[in-house]
Amino acid sequence: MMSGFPYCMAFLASLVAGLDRTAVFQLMISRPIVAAPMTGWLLGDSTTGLQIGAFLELLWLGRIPVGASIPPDDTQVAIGSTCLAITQYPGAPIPLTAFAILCLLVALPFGKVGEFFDRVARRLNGNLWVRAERAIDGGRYRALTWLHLQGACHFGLASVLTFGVILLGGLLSLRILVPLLSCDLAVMLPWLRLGVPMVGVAACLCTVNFRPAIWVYCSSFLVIYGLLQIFG
Amino acid sequence: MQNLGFLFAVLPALRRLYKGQELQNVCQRNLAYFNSNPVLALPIIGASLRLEEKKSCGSELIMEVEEFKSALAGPCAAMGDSFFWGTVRPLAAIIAVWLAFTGRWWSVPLFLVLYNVPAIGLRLYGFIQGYRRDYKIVDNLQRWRLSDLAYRLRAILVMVLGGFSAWIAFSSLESARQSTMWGWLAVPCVVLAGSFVRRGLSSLVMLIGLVILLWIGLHLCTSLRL
Repeated sequence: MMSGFPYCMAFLASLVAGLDRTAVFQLMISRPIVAAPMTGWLLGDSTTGLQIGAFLELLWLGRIPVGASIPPDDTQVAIGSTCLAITQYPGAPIPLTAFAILCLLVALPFGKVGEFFDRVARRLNGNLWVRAERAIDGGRYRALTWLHLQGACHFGLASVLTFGVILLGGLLSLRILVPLLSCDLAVMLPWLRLGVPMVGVAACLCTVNFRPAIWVYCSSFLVIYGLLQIFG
Repeated sequence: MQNLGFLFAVLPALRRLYKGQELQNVCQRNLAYFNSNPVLALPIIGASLRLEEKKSCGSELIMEVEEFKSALAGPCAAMGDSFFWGTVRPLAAIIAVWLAFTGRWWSVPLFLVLYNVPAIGLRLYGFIQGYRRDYKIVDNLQRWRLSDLAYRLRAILVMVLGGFSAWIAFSSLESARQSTMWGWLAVPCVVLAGSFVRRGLSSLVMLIGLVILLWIGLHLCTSLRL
């Protein structure tokens, strides 16, 4: 029988990181490079979490939540894919890293759901403004503290719901994809290890606000690659 | 919108400064629309508190608190988002990711330190300076030259991205037992992927396309050998 303990721990990580993402402190615990290894550590395999976190961080490196724009929930994708990779790993002959990348690919589209839940949380928090005005008119200043905490809770709830959707969607998708791709994953691994970071680097280069970015990038690449070829 | 958060932050001080109807009016004023960067909001909170303090003592203000807040919120949001989210965070992240790919677990605490030391430091320093200097915090914000610093840090970020791409291309080709000469193609591939991103293609779609291409390529190679 499958134990519910790993899912409870992942749920806890999802709540903490989800709160850090928007509502509380913003210490960057919510970034995939932190959230995924933290989940992995809670589930007993921080190495897998670190790998997933590194890939995902690269993929959405240049995404900035500016103004009213809501990016996909990379925090919950990181936690969900780490949870899936650790709990659903079928064992040899599939390499764990290849399976972790598959879990990441499966979880990524569901990250879009996070935008919807985030938007709902923001709409609910917009209503708190009116309630806060009423509380001030009535001289109920303690209610303001509760309303503020309620706003944070809305974001926490949105995160947990996104995590739930990623987990359920991921479980269903893995059931279909694992038999289909299990033989090919090991062969595809080195190419995925090369391709996934390159997509992330390309996306980041396009968003970074630095005019000679492409020339500096090319020069840096050529120098380092040349040195690696000579001394590698 | 962070108006309720702003009021929550200044409420204990306001309750000390004002009572009764006056407190109600001040709270309503502080509940006005506010949206800024979480780090650079602290100098605004500090300065607003000082101005509220002066106002409660009966001093004449050259600019109302809510006007001062709304005038500063936009520029602080632009500066803070560009500096912390557009520069410091990606730079700290790419350094941590590079170390993570080499299997170093301490890349995670390093990322947190690299981001949080300037962020928390500026939050505390900004709040204190805002409280000390009220209107003159604008001079401090100009003197910090965050935009210039961000530009220089972005140059370092792009250089690190180039170095990381070279390393990942070299190590991946070595682990796949392929000639490392193929690695020189990484730059045109990144430029091509970048042009797709500029045309609005998301990295998620590109990634799914990459997996499908790899899968088809793999099966084609297998069938051709047969």
